[in-house]
Amino acid sequence: MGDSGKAKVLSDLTEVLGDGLILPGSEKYKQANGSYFSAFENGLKPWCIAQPGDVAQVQSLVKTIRPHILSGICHVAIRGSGHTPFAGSANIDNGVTIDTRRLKGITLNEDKSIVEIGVGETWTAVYTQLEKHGVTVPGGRVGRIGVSGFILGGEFRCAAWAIISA
Amino acid sequence: MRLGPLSPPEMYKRLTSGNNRRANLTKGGLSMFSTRTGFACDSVTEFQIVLALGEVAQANAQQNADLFWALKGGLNNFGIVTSMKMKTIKSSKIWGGITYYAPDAFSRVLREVCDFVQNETDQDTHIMCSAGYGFGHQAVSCVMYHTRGEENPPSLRRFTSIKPQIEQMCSMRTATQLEFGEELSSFTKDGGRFVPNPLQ
Repeated sequence: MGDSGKAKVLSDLTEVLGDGLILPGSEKYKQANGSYFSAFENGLKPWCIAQPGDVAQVQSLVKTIRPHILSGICHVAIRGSGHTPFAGSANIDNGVTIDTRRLKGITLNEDKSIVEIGVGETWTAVYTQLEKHGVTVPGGRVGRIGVSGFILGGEFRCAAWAIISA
Repeated sequence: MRLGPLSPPEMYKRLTSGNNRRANLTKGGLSMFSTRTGFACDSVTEFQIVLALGEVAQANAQQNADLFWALKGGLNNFGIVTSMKMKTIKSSKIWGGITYYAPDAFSRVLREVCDFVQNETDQDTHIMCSAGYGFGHQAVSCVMYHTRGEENPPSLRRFTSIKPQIEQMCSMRTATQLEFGEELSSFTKDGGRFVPNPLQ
């Protein structure tokens, strides 16, 4: 992973994402990379944090970074709200972290039976929106958790506590 | 989340086999409605995902059904999921909150948890029992909900009747899922160092 490879990755991604590419040294980088649930994740330092704003940008991002992944120049991590605690689950040293938190949207269908939720939402946002319409979803018990990791993987709520759940 | 060296489909199969309540898990997308509706991912009807070539795919029971299945436990390993569709349920008042007990109530609470897990048939209840130690203090707590809003229902009396409670800390009341979600949010903050330690 030479510096020229890294520079090429960064310039290619800047072309696709513009302001949605966050680089080390900026306040945005400090904020985004320090916003994980566990300090083990905050401790990793990606080359850059890619924040696509819509699905089309995610597609462009994947197409752009794919050859760099295949040639072994870089690896990627994908994050939602960043609640999975172990290092490397949603952040990466010397690679690109794809931050999906800008992918928002909570849309109820006409008969209110189905809701479409962007992966950047938290359960608090989902419940707030849905309760206005008299419905909810069987989502997380802790509101601040993001929907994506909770649905795709699971949930931890342990900290220093040992928990028995039934 | 990782459950040892299991592939995501195998993990999902194990998580969802048998009676959800008896699965006795602290992970897998548990909601306060899980006794009735299963894991949260069981209410998902479709995922939208950007795959490795950059194409957008829909994964549901008919279309890309294998991917639909694998994403329920597959985390961020199959592409970049961008949105999901979930079945809604009617929002209604819920009775619940947190009850705190003196440390010596732990063995009684634990016995009642076992009884609840093995014998309770009320599908509208959900509990999380914890024993904690921090800053020189010990406490035992039971987070419990009745999702049809019944106050102190028979299914939860085995917990509400245990004494002594630390009454000034207890928060049992009628509220919404949003309010209960905010309550539990206040117990954690970002940037901590910890090792999850679920008792199975």
